[in-house]
Amino acid sequence: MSLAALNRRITLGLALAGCLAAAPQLRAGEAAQATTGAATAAVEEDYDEEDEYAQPAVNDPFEKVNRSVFKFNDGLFRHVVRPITRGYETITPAPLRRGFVSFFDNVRFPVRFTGSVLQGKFDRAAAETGKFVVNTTAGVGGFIKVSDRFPKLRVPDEDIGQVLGKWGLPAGPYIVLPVLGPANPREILGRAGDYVLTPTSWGRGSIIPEEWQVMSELSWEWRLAISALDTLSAFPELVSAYDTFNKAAVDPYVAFRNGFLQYREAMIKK
Amino acid sequence: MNLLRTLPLRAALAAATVLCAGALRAEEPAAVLRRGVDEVMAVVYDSAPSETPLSVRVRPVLEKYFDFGGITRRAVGPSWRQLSPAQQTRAVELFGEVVLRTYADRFQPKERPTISYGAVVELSARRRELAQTVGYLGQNYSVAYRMEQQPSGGWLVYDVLIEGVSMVQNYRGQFEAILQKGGPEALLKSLEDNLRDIATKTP
Repeated sequence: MSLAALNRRITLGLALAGCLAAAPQLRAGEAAQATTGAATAAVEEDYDEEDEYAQPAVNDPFEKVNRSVFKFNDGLFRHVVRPITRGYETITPAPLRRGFVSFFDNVRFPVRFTGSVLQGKFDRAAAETGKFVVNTTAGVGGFIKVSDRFPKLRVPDEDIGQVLGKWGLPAGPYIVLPVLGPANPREILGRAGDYVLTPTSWGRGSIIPEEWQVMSELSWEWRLAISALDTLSAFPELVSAYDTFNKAAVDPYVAFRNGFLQYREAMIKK
Repeated sequence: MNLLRTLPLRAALAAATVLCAGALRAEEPAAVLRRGVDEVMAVVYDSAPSETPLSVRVRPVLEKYFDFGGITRRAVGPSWRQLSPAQQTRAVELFGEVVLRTYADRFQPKERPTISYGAVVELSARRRELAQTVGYLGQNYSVAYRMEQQPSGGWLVYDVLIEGVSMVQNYRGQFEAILQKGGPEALLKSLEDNLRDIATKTP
């Protein structure tokens, strides 16, 4: 599995910290007006409201194993990912780092496009196409996310995991993967789909048409370097999200599990 | 006679006046949130550099806009009734501090975030969810605040959702396991431990 793919997995793992998705396009809504009468009546209502936070049963039959893998990943984070990230941040100026993030984000256009189409979200697919064109041209190959200046082009990211969720495939039991973090069978399948649709994986032997195999001309050193940069560029945000989330947690294992499940559910609904 | 005929009208007018006065007093939740966020931003980005931790400096602002009691009660969930009044008070103190520090942590002084306000969803007669898009360091995040109208008519925040992850729901999951294993005292202890960790854990 390439580093780029790994990156995506970690990225999704981090998702629990709720940090990577693009902004949702929020229609400026009318503030719902509570009429004066309702407001007055509300005060007299029973204050013990219904429980809007009732927890769905957690499907985590492998908790024991998961917890030890979680611990291993945490160590990896502290002793490998964080030092590498600090080094990367030291030698790479912030605008360049941001450029790399935007670039690899732009490269993943086929994932978002396909994800949108397979859910029948054609307006979103169109917006993604517009985004890709604008960022690739005006944004100099994707290094500048010009599209953010157009509210219409700000749409939530779609991916194959969300497609499978939308199609009704059950998530299955929660699994913590070594290195890659929180997942479940549906997510693993979805990420495999994302990987296939990501142009950095389009080399010789990939299942996409030969004329699209953009990576086939590159030597393995180049491909490795690109994958490494893809992974590395996501690290600073990953680290900061991980730390914030970890620090706030009373039981980090449960916090990450709950965060991951909530995050993916919210993405599927969006 | 004349008076009698106009009496219903007069009564209606009087009632309308009273209701309007009430309406003027009760500010829209969106306006309240905007004011609160502006005040937090002012503390974080416009005030003179200070040695005092951010969580201490934003506390007075958040105390005006956050319903720490409601946040804690919801995060603990149905087990809330198992806590004695003293334990409840302690839980609100401790968890309020956790929320405060976590929230303050989200504002890093690297770059001022841009905030655009989105839809307001009516969750119930007295509860609203207010969406925001926060742009920070080149990325956009969706943030939502849940607010509830208090008996006094004012609106207070009782949950913050970042990228769809509800803070209250996230803690509910953690607290449930702790309460099941060790009851209220274990919960209070875990909060104390967490606050100590936040203070000492520097990555």
